[in-house]
Amino acid sequence: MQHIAKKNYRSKGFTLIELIMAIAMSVIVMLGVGIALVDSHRGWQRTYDRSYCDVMTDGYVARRMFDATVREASSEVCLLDVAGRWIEVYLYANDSSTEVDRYARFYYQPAGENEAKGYLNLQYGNWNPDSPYPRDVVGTQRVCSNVSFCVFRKAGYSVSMILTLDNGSQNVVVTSSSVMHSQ
Amino acid sequence: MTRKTKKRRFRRGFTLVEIPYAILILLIAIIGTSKYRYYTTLDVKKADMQTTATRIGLLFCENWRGVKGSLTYDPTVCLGSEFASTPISCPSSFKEFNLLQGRTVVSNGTNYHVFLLFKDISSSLRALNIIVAWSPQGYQITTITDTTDSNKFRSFELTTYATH
Repeated sequence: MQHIAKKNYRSKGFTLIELIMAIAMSVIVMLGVGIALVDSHRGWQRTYDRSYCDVMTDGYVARRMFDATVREASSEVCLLDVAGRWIEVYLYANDSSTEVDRYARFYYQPAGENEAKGYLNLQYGNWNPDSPYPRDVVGTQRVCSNVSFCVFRKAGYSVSMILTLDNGSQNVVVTSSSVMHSQ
Repeated sequence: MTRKTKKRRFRRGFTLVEIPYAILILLIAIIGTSKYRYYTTLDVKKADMQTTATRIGLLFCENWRGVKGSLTYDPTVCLGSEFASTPISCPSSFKEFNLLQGRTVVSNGTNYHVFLLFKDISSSLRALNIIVAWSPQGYQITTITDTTDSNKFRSFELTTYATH
């Protein structure tokens, strides 16, 4: 009887040494798995940020908008700021327009006292060169924020934009050049 | 008594064969995951390089075309000093095209070599050919013929036409 009781006692549960060893092994395994998971998540986040972070998507939008507008613009005339801070292109409203009757101005609004960030804006509207106020502003659109540098250049019929976006943690340089096609 | 002791020893813990098997399976899973992550990162980097090369090629192409494929085209003047590119020496012709100039543009630590080539189709029509080459492994291009080595270099080619 005494022998049976001893046997039951020994077969139940774990000893203190076994428990400590098991905990130590579990901790090592969990640490390894945790480090692998954290590293994996960081890698995924880095990959995701390279494609979808705010400065990347803003840069993509700015490039697309600039390209689409300039490609529709008339190659006859184009106004460019001496310092390259803004550029104004002229467009035809539709196929029946014989003269340019729309304008679009991209301009860089640097960070200042009132604004913590720099912006790239697009002002657009009707254009009537015979009027004393040729520009009838229809709207102004903010193309992208976090702009730390922007310059426009013109070479023949092509217009280029060099844009630097910086959100504090990531820095993206966007370059675009488009030919003004309409005549 | 002997039989009971044997039974108890058999039921406790794992055998020496089970543990290596478990470790082996775990290692295969970890190595498989690491390989997947490695190739994912590598593919993203390759795609990023391809996209950058395409944009650089398009930038030069549109800019050069804007000045009607002029043979005096200078990217430093037309794109401004803000867009940094350094000239590289190259021969006067490559394949069926005349070679105007070669430039190196650095983006995200990768060197992209841009070659501007042209061919006069007629007295007023000129074909403009842009080749952008880069090396994912970091090899340096010494001449334009290096771009044909697909083991070391990747390249992107773009052709457009300009009236002059």
